[in-house]
Amino acid sequence: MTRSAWPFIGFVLLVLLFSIGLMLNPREVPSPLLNQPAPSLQGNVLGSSELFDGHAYTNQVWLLNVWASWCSGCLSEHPHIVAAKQRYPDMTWIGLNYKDSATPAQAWLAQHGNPYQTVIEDPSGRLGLDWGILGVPETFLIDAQGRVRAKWQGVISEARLQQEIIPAWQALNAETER
Amino acid sequence: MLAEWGVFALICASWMALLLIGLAWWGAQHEQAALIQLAVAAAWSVFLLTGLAFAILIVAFLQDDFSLKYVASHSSIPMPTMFKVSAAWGAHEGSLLLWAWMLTGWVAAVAAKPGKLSAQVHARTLAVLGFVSLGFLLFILFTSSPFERMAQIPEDGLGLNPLLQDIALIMHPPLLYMGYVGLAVSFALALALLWQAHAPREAFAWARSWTLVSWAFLTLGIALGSWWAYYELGWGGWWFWDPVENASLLPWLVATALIHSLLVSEKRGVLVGWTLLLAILAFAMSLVGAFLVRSGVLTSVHAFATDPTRGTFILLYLIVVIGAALALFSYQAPKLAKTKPLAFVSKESALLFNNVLLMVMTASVLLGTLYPLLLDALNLGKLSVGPPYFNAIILPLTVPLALLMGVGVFIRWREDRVRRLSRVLLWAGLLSGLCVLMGALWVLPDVEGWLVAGVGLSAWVALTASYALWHHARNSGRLSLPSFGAMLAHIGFAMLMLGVTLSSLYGVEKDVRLAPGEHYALNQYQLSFVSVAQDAGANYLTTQARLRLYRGGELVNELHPEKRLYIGHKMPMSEVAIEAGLFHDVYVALGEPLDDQGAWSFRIQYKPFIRGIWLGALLMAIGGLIAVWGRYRRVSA
Repeated sequence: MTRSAWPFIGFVLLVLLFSIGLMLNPREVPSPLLNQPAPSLQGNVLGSSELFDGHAYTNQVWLLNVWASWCSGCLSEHPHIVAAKQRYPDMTWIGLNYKDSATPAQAWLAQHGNPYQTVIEDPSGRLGLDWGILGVPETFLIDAQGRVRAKWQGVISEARLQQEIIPAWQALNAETER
Repeated sequence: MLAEWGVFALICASWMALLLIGLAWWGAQHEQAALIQLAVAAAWSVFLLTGLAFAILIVAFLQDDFSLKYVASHSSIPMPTMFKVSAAWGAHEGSLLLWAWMLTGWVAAVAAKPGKLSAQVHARTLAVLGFVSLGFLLFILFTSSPFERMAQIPEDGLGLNPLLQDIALIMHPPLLYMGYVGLAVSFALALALLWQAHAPREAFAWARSWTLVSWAFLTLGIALGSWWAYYELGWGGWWFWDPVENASLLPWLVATALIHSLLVSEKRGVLVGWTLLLAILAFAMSLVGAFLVRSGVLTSVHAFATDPTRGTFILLYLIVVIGAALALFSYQAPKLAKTKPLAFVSKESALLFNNVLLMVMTASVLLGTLYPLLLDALNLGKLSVGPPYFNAIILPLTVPLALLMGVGVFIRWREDRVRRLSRVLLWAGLLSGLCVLMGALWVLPDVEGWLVAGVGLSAWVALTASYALWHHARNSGRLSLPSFGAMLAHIGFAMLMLGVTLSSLYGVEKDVRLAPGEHYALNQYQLSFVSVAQDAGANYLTTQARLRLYRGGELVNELHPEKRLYIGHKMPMSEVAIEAGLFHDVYVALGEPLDDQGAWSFRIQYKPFIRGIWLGALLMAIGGLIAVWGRYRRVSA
């Protein structure tokens, strides 16, 4: 092996890196909120002037699902959430109605079922900004200490729910009881 | 039907490229001049056929042929004709076709101008270039055809991204691509020389002209992109260390090293292996850049819309072309004739040190660009590397580089004496010190460390270059164009350094709120906000502000920063207003309406000598072209 082979070796490593790089998606970014205290969730309860304060949910594990009546992805994940709520009645789902208006949102819930404890309005997307929402749907898991523990971008499929979300929720619950 | 002819032309071009490879290689192996002559003709036919395909694409844009997916996605009926033409290279598919066409143009030029290359080396160079072209043509045909039809023909197209509807951006990609593909010539020559394990000096002289031309284009292309970013993006920056910018800087850095190393190999017949390696690396960097920009492995503000099959294709291409080249290098380089070690105090050594510095810069920029990818690949998390890293690495490396630039122009070939050298350089050093002193007095009490370095080094590079030129002209009794070009390029670099130093250290950037009738004082200027009005352009609506710029109570100019909303696009585009001067720019960008009283936010900047950055780059490019022209005249005389 001579010195003149070094550039070739360097190139092989570079190609290796590029091949791995092709299999990754640089746009998939973990939320900076992970393991950080959840941003405040203060807003009107959907369709009323009642004010909701997210701090009411400290000391329990809960899920925040960001949705909108105009979002087709939300419609496709919604039956899974409804089913999960039926199977695990103590699962706390809070809805964040993102950039939507109350009338179509309420009609949407009436038609497709309402698994949420409460739905908070975010017509201007201000709360969404605090939570770093890129697009709907998105789902956050918040622990009893009020920290964001997991985030799922995009539609919750049946598989995602069974393999990721429910186990993560159960694990957090077990952690809380200990 | 026309578009199908475009595809047909590309298919024919691919076959002709294949023919070119066969004829040229066979001709070289068996020393058959007739075959090489045919290969030259094949090279021209590839160029003409690819040009035909490109022309057909432009016609499709001019005819608003929205049955083509590419035209429908990047053009629309109300777009001005100029932008319809430039939209042809406004996105991945068309820009790749432009790239391929330019590459085949370089191949045709190489075919026509063998210079002093031996017939064998010339033919092998052509064969490699044919192979390189074939790869690009197949890339277009298999993954990125701009001639793809759509089942449903829309009434109107989506229009070109408004950011690209701009004169500088019409010119930016062609210039840059000319530079990228031009590096293929020295790459191909390096392989031809490595194949025969013998590299005569004439070959390096030949390669130097070609490399200088592509380096000049690359310089212009990068500078134009930076200028565009400055006035179009509305934040007043001129370089962001974005992966795509780095992708263009990497081949530039290697090409800069290459033109200096070629000089050493040409004049003294040494550093041969190093020069050949640089020739391979320079083109490798343009391909790595293409991979990074077009494959989607890195996120960037201006990466092309991506598709993994394209990334895979470029990677395969990279493996075949560069992998084979480096394998050939590792096998053949030890067989190249050994030369005596260089004297430490000699031009050869000075240029080698400068090369090493440039390559360290290249490696650092490459590392910074790939670091996010590397961490992600090792599953160590996601991050982005920003300007703090690049500035911290590149700025300190510029100091020894600039110092060496001054030494390099005076130091003699073979061996020089430190005493002689220091006597010559002493004056330049003292004068540079004087410049620093004057600069410091000017900005007192605001003197910063980087000011001393920036002004001192700029003066040093410019003074040594001017003095060397004068010295050379006096001794030889005439002005040699190649050295004039080289020194002009050095002075351009000095200007660029000065522009960077002054604009970044003494620039003022303010975000202010102004209501109509209000004033804002900016250094020696006063800005007065008059009014805001709505208007419509050819394919956009605009909100235009009127501001008056006063200097000492006298009206200098009226500035009209705009916010444009292009039809079919949601994002407003800012059109900044710049009162440009050689010594400083006043830069006003219109922000958002703030309240009911008609107040708006403005971004106001004062940038001393920012023009030096682009003027410097322009001088560098002109210098490079003058040097080529001078060499050409000398050869033909």
